[in-house]
Amino acid sequence: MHLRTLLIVAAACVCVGAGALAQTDTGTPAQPDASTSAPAKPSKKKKKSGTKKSSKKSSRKKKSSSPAAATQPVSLEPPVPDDGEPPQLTHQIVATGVRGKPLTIAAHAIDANGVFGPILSVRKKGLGAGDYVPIKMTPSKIVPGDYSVDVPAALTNVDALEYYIEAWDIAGNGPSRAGSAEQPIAVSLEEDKKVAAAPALPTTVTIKPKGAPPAITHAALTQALKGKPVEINARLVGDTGVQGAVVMFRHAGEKEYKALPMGNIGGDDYTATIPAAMTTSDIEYYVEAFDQYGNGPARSGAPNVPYALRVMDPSPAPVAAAAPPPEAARVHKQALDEDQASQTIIGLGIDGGAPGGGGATLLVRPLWWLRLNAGLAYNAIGLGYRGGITLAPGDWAVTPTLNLDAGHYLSGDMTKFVTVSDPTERALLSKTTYTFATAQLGLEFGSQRRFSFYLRGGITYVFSTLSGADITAIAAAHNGDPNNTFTVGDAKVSAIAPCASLGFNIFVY
Amino acid sequence: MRNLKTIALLLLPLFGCFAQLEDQTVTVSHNLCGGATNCMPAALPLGLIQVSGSNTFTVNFGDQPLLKPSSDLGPATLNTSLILGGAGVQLQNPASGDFTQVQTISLLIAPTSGVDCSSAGSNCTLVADYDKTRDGTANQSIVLKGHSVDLIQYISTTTHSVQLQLQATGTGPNNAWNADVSMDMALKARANFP
Repeated sequence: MHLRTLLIVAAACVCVGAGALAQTDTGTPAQPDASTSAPAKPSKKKKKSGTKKSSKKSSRKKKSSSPAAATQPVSLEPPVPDDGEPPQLTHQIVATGVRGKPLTIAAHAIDANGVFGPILSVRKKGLGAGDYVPIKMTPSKIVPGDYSVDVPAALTNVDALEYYIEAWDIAGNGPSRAGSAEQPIAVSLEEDKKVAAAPALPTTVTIKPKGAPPAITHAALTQALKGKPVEINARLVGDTGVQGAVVMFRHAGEKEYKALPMGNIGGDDYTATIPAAMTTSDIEYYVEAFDQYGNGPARSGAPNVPYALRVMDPSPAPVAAAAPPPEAARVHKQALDEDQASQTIIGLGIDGGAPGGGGATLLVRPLWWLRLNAGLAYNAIGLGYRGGITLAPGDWAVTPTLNLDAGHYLSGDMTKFVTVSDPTERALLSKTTYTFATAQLGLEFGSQRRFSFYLRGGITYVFSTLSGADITAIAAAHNGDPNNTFTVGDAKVSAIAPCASLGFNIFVY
Repeated sequence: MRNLKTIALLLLPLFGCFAQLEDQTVTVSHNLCGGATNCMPAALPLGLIQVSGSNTFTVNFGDQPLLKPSSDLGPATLNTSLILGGAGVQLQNPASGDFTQVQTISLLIAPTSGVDCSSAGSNCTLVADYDKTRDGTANQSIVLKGHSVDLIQYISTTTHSVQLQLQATGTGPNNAWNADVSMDMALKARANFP
């Protein structure tokens, strides 16, 4: 009867453990709870397992909090193939602290299989190897890979501490260490005022107030045009503020990164622009930021794993985008689509208006705020050509514009619209050519990257020259005295008049 | 009140708008002998030139809408000017001699045909003149300085013509002669909005 009860309890434990594994994110492996007892270390050789003969009470305990229980699923086949490598562990050494105050120790650990630990082992300086107190470091909820732990004030009421950190991956590879049991890192604990008076050692001393670095959301860019500025945007969210947000970038192949401060553009959005002069070759970059207490850095990308920004010639050479990290594939694809859309620089415009007539023009946008146009003009009197520029100081749903155009009508026949019987006057009006220039303010509706509709109004300057010979012929026809001879030179006709037009632009490439 | 301001703003671009036609070289030439050769006697005292009647001539500009001082064109008003910049007398045949003995020549506009501008109270308008003392001795041609008179106001609205007369002093060329009288004018027609 007792044996049957034990089997049922054991089966229940296995089911609950399997359920916990099914809910565990493989990218962020389950961590055992912090415990004052020595945590279980995953090992390929040494695997702890719960005893089948344990009591019902002890089985429940393992299910809920025991590190040994949490590591049981590790013995199953890991979801990610074992890379055989221990985690990458980086740690900023803490050399001093304040006696009687909690001591914050942080580390950064990453591994493709997921990180187990890290475990901070701390002891009073001078004690034996068996006196280390293991404390599991807590993963950051905001920045993946960041861990920290506060050494309780009860342990810091001594002159000095020694510690080291170990981390394994879920497959049991490791440990990676910062310090070791034999060569621990020493922390000098001083009175509060002594620390205040001590010279700052920013490179080695890290005493951070409570807080966490900001979380970074960034859609990585993969392509840019040579000689064009690159705008890098990120959303930085932190409970304790954001400080020192920068884009660190370098040309591919270079060692050193250059820092480009990011500016807040409202809310949690930050931006920085890599100058056009720097986009001469492929660029690598990452984004990092701290909170206002100096916690961090939080990073998107990293110095050793930067985002690759391929810099292409403006000529239309399709280049395959660099493969984004698997976890950001969807975001990368979206960013790529947006990039391609924002880089449309060639389009077609069709418009009509008075008194300029209509036309079809080829549009080229060398700068995001500048468009050039050139094309044909037609105003029912005749055909001509024209060109101009449009300045659009924004890229909004409704954007104000300033448009300057100039053109020339090559030929025209005004007699279509004016009834003239005098053959000399008909001869003059049938050869109507003129040059024009317009300045218009307008509003564009829609996306300037793709399709926009616009209304414009302004003034136009029209200039034409009438043939002196034709005017002389008209004067001669009206001359009543054969003894009089008229000679008339070319006449200049000019006008400044209001004008209005409407049309649309489509950018296709 | 707001509507008035809006309308005023909308009409603002119209201020300064205009249409204009400009021709700086309008020339009318008249032959004193009406095509005949050397109708003027040799060494003619020029004070007698009006006796021949050749000193009077009419320039007909035709019925042109532009050639009125002012005309309404919808919301705009068309204003036209025809300024006489200068005049000249060109001897047709060099063998006739020269104009070295000519003392003065005046080109006048007669208010009506048949008026003798040399008589007192003729109410003629001087538009250009030559003075040997002022302008120097002439030779084959004489340049008359214009007085920037706007001829538009003298163009008859019915006949579309101007009556012109030459008055001169001194002596003509030594041989029978003929000459062309020319007038250089500048036409400007401008319609301002509104």
